[in-house]
Amino acid sequence: MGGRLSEESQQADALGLRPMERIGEVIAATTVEIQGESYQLHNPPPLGSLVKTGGIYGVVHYAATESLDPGRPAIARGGEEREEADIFLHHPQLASLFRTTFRALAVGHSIDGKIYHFLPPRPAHVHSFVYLCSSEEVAAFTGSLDFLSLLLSASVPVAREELVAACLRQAATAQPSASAFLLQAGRELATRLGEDWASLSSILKRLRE
Amino acid sequence: MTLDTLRIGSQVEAMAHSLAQRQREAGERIRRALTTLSATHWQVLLSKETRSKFTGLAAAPLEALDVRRPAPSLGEEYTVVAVDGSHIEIDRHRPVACYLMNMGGARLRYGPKAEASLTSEPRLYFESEDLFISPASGDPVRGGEPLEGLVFHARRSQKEIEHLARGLSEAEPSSFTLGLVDGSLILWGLSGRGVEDYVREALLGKGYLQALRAVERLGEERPLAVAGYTSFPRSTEVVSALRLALCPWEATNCDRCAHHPPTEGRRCMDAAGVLDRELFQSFLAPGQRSALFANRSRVVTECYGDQEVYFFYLRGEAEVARVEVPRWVAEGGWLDMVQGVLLEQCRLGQGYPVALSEAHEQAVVTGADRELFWRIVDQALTARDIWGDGSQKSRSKRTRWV
Repeated sequence: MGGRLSEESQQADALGLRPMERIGEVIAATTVEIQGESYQLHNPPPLGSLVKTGGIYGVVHYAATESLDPGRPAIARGGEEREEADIFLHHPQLASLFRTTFRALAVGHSIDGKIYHFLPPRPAHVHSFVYLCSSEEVAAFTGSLDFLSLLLSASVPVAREELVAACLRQAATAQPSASAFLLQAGRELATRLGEDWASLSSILKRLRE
Repeated sequence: MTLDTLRIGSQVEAMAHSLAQRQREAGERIRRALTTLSATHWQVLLSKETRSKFTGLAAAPLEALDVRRPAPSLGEEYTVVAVDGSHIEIDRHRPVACYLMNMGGARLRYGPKAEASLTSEPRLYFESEDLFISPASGDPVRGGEPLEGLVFHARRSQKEIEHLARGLSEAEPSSFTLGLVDGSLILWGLSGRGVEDYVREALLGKGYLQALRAVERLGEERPLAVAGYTSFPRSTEVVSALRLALCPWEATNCDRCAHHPPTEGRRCMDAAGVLDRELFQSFLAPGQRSALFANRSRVVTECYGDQEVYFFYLRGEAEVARVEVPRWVAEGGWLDMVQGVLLEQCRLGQGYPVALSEAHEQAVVTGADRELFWRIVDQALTARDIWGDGSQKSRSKRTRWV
């Protein structure tokens, strides 16, 4: 991450907003999904957060930290260590042998500054930088909740109620009024989920906690 | 037709039976070797070695044979730099003569500022000076020695030690640094009479030994040592020295002895067939290292000069390893640090030095990598219309039919 971004981070922190932060890059992409690798081990974008790469927006639905080489699984090393952190201190190579990856559902894109809440015409490019969207950008994107239909219909490894609730909780923090935003989101979900009361109540329960 | 494993099974069984029998017999030989180890005075043995004509390669002891050095305490802060190489050799059935060497490196720094650097540096060699070693005067007719077989492996060892010298120069200089290579510091392949002097000079004098000297110079400015670590060694140099000690002749001459059967009647046979690691497995406790010995191989005595190779055996928790160091490491008083760091490396690496293990992981070239490499070469040549079919044998192996 360059100095410019750090400076931006500091300014944004002073304003109480989350800045646009470069967190990784695309390692595979399809029309519906962005797969990324985090620059920092154990530090993927949070579940439900909004990321952006090459004009494509995605909602993070999955992350994993695994051995770089599938043939070399991790083994327990801490039997004789006092603290967890000592394991990485005494085995400094470990940080280079694992990686953290994440997957984001494509939920929209922007062209010439205009945001569209439907799938992009083409997938993201491999090795494009992935940014965690700034509060400002999250607020702009979630100004319309049309993307919820993509989240609700997606086939993802986590329960869709978990994903939708996590996404809305994340988005609420970027709004001028979190409660007004969640109220509107609740109405939107009620419309889209129709008679699926179980799902609706499951999401609303997660939004309240 | 694939391998007929059913027919192999019974042969493997017979082998295992025979090995078990041999192992039972070895126990007695190891006991005799241990007795000799304790009973022999090292200076008397050394003196006898210089007077004898012994057919085996006997280690020259540099201290009492039955020394056991305990594991030293190790400071918190140190660095290990390890290197390991792998290669794709020249395939003479291909239309192009080239080879690839991949140098894997691991630099692991321990202590409060712990960090790691794992690197892999592949390099393609295809120029004539990469494919042949030519005499200094040049011989346009013969073209020099092709880089094949033992000469090729010696070149790889040279590249590894050069890579290590670079890695060590980049390591943080304030705390002790151990440079490690996998296996021996001795280029055994160059000891034969069939190797021309200019080949030895190119690979050793101007190659391997020059890199070792560069490391030695670096060691004059900072705390540093270099070692070759051989896991599961098969060497018998110490046992050979004990056999020499057992020989009843004042000055051993194996040629003369050969004319006096029966073979089993010879005292030296009491310890024959024992490996050094078997001897020290019984003699050393976990963590201890053996006495220090000098290697007396022809290539070392004739070519290594100031980089003469000393060695000792080290018993870790899992196995006895052979550790070789240049003379200056021993004379600089670094053997305790080498022992301490290697024991800790083995503890961290489940029985094998973790830095060497990671360097190997960085270097390794798999079968799939090999195929991909040749495919890339084929494509590049085809794109420039400089393609031939290579040998029909090679084509036949790649395109199978019934």
